[in-house]
Amino acid sequence: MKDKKYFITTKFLFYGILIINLLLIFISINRSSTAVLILSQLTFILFICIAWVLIKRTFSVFFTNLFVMMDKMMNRETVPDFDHIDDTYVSQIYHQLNRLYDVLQMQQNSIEQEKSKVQSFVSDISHQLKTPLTNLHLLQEALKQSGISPEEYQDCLEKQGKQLDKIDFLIRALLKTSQLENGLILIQPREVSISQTILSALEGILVLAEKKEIEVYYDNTTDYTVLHDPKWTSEALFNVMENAIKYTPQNGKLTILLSRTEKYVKISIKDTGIGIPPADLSNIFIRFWRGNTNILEGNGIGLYLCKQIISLQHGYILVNSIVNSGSEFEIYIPL
Amino acid sequence: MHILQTKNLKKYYGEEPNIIRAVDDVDLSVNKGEFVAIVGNSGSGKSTLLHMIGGLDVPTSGSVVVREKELSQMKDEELSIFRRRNIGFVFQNYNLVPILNVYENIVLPVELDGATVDQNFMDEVVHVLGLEEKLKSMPNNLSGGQQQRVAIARALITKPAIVLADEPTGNLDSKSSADVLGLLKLSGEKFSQTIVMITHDWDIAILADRIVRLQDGRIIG
Amino acid sequence: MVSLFTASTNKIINRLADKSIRADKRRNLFIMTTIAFAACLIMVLALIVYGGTYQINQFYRGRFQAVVSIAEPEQIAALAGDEKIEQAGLTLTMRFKALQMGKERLHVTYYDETAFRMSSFELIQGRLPEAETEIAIPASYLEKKGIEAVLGQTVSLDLGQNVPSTYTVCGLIRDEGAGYTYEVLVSQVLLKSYFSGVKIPYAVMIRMAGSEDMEADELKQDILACMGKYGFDEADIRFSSSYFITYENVSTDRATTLGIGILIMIACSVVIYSLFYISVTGKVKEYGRLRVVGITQKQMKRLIQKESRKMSFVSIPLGIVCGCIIGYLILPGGWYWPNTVKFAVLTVFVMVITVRLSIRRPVRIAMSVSPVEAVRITTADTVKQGDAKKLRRRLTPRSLAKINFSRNRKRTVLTLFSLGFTGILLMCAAAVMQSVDPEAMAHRNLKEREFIVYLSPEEDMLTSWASTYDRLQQNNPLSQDFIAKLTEEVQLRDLKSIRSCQANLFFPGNDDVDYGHTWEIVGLSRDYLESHQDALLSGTLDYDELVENQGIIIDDDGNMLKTYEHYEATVGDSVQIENDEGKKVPFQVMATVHWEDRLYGGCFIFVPEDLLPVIKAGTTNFSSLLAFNSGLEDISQADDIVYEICGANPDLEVGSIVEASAAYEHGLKEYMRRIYAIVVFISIFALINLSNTLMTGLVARQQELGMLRSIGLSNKQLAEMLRLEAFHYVLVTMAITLTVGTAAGYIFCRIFNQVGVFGEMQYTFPLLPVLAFFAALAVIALGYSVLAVRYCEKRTLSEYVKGMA
Repeated sequence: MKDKKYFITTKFLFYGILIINLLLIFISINRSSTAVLILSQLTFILFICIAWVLIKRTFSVFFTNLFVMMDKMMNRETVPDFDHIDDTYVSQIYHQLNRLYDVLQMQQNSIEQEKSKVQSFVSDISHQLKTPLTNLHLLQEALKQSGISPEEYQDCLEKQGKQLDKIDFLIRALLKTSQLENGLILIQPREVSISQTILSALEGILVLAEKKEIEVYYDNTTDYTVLHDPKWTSEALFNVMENAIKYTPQNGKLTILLSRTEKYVKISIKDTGIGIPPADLSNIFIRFWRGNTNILEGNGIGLYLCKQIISLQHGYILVNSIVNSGSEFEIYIPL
Repeated sequence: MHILQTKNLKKYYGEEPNIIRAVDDVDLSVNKGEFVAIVGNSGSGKSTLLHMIGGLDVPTSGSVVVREKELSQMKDEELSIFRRRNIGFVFQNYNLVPILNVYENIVLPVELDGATVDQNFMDEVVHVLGLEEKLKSMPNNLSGGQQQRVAIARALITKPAIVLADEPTGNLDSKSSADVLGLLKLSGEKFSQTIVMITHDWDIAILADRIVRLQDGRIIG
Repeated sequence: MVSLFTASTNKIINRLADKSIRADKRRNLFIMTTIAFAACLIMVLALIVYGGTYQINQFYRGRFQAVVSIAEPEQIAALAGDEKIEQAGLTLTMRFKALQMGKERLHVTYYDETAFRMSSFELIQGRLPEAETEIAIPASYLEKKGIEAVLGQTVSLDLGQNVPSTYTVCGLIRDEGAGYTYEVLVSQVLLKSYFSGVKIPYAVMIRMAGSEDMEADELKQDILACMGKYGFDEADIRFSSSYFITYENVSTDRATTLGIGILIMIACSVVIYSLFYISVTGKVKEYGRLRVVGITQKQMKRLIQKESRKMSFVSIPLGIVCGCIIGYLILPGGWYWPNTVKFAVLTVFVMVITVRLSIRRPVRIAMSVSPVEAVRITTADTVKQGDAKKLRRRLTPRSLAKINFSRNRKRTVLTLFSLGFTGILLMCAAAVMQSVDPEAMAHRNLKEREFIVYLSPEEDMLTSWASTYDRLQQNNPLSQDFIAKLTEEVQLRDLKSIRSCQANLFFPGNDDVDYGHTWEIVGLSRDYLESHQDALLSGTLDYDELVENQGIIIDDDGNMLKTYEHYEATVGDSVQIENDEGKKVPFQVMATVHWEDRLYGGCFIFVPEDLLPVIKAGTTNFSSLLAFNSGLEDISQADDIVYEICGANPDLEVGSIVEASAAYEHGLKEYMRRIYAIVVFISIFALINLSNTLMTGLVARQQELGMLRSIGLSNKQLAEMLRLEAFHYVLVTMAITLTVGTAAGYIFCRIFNQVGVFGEMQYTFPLLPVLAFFAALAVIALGYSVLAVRYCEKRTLSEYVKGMA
């Protein structure tokens, strides 16, 4: 590193000239010679001049390096490493600049990631919306036609209603997610019975379960008072249960267990569904991720939402699954 | 981009036939900004591995490259300075300097560098870790958990590129643990930090982006 | 540092140093004490040594440098007016009367005011004599004689016929009373009466202006030149011997201070090294922590150096101030501000360097601490690698003590080293001191007899020494009658005598100088020469040959001739001897010898005794010295008698073993006291070291001891273990002291024997000092075990377990 060489040169120069100077002064005193005294002064001046030049060069190297670094950073090119890792301020600046660049880059990356996520979300939704809207159009056309029977009429209206429900569902989910993301939804934890929350979630899916003749089992003899937001937690549990039902074939079983560990309360939601391949286990909670596209319903936000809600309450979710055997979702909420 | 990479890393103690293979040929790569958890039973070599990654210990063989710098090729002075600017270490036994008070302990790496303390950041960290009342206390008047939090604050104060934590929540209750982890993750995101954490607590481990399992000095799974 | 761009970390290093100092009070107390103590010692040493010289020089300030014989008292006016001459005082060339009053001798002379001051005399009371019957006399003399020392006191003095016999004391002179000669002053009026008709031998005491810093030779030349102006030549001038001797002391001072100073420095640095070493090796974990946080080796070095600097900053000045105070108390007369300031600066310098060097190695160790130490689970000391040799060892307090002692080799070795060093020093000093026999020394000087009586005519500046001596020998008081009288009175036995004369000799190269130096020429008998053939170095000892060729024998083993005459004795050279008629008689150097005979110590020139009359025709009895033993039971009685007999004759000098032994012993005691003081001080360093080692070991092992106690080691057993451990130190030290120390002491004695400083020395084992040393160590060991146990008891067991870090 050039500037380091300049440091060292300056140091040697300083000592050398100092010693020479002192010697000259000493001699001049002993010999009472003004000529020698003047000589010592001259060497001193010489030193100052050389030191000036060296220091200027050192600074100029340093500043040039900084300039080059910043240029490269602006251009998003690889930044050369000038840091000679020692105890100088110069080294500190190099280091800090590099770190700053790291941080900015990372921020940039995450912004871009978010942007692309939002973009894909938007495109997804619009995609999703397309189908029901198309269907609505078709039905509309069908209804416009003359000569349809009243049964067909009713059928069309029902179908339209379903499509509208879907749109409604989609948009609400969208809203919820964005609200959650933007912190517009507050999790308000209260010390209430967790069993109650589970039951309210169950209520929501019982109908679905019945339709598919899936047995739901829940032992509500034990109960704990847990600090949680019942409304949102219920929603989260509901999402999981809904998923479980969705991915469980006819005549399956859904078991819900409530227990506790040292620090947490554990809600286990077990199904006998198609299971989740191991590779996808960590993906299921990702926003808009949809694994098995055979199942047409769902939009990939349910589990994501669930994870958010549980995380915000300082809990976590674990998944175990064996393909074609079933999945178990374990939800931990801190006591 | 790999911020940290080990290749064929080995740490052996003693000689045949009583040789101890604490770390036995470990290849580990960590990306910038990742949160990695290292788990394993006691004696699996987790701490030894962490020490070598942090440049505290010299490997028997193999290389450790941090921020594109090969640690074994650095001179002592360089390594010390590199370490204090780029690596924040949280130890199992805290390793606070007993003759300095809490505040002085926290800002020690910054002061050794001759740099200025970012007071706002300091206040924030101290607040999150709940140490405001204890800033003037001496380490041996603190409980284990408090000392650990001081150690964590110290590790974060220079906003290092890498945070190496050896059982950082070992002595903390669940709430504090959660707070600490939250702080680590937040700091990590804000300052583009990579976090490598050893823990035996599975609940903590799953919060990481990646889990590395160590057994008998080797990575398994 | 010069590097302009280094980030300044002084603040944090300062703070760490401060906190570290505050945290480790005990160690710091030891270190600061050691440094202060060393600084104090060095200051005291310098002050006393140089102060002594200064004091002497001060004493001689204003003292006269030469005495010039003048013809008329009026000549002094011219001299006094000369600006080159600082002071001129009127006196006599020498005392005009000497009275032997029992053991004391009175020299009666005259000084005027100026001369009186220049002779460094002081009046306690009264004034100088003016009237004929007035005298000034030392108070201590009167007291010795049992006369009341007051003004107006009458004293009877027999000064001759022309003068009164009773005098009144008008002035009391200050005199320590240490010697046997006293000056009595009379008035100028009395002189006139005494010398009625004869020329009074006036003289002027002079002191040159601005002569304080002149070299001795330069000053002499100056005086000669100045006096030359007034027509005085070398013969008229006598230089003050005491004044010119003091110049010699300066270089010996420097050597002594340097020597002892180095000893102190070594002792101090060993202790400081040891203290820091123990401290650093104990703090390995803490340093490891700092390393983990990122402190560089350079910063570590600065940290420890700063710690030492801060401690020195307080302790060195403290030590210097204490040293000044002690130095002043011991030698107030030697106090001289410029000297003190110089010494203070020098001491600071020396101490700073000592400390800096002592901590070098510990600093190195601290620097090399690896960050891994912070996470290692270390034991209190480094144990050797490898498995233990034995499966089982007996575990009793005694064996535990032994095991403890031999762990941590380095620390033990250091402490033992400083203790051993002290022990050896002690042995050497004690051995030398105890082996010196003042009586033997005295004997040697007295030609190995109890008494010597020798001719010592009164000096008369107007006559040459040789002539004066001749005159005396022509009526030699050392006659057969004299010997007979002595035999009768004190049962004279084992008589040895020297037959010699004093004459001026002219050596080759100096033949044309007018004045040769006076040397003693000893006459040897035929028998003596025959029996001492083996002492011949060159030439011949044949008696007849020597007589025939007027040969002289030279024994210049002490290089006296070489030094004073610049002559190296060679056979065949011609030497001129001035006979008693003033004629130069040529002699030939026919032999060089070296005989070991104590009798002729101080004699260099020998001739066959038959040649003595050739040199001094007018002398028959050439006895110059008698050495004999007394047959009386009570030697002090003999002493008194001899003095009485010889005292009557002012031309005889007596040397007695009683006086000589006393003098030597007195001198020796002074010496002994000083040397012991030094050894004691140095031993304090070692004791500090020992205490520190024991205490640090104790503190470091708290956890271990706690564990031992918790599994059932009783207090008594613990006390025994600690006590035995401490005793191991004592034992090993004593072993070293007794073996190496004895050997060293013996060697020292031999060396001193060779040099001959203390005369003949018989090696005696210094039992008492060794016992004292042992006792001191034992006390510390015991004290340690008592205090240690109490310390351990104070802490509860849980504290032990807790104190894991």
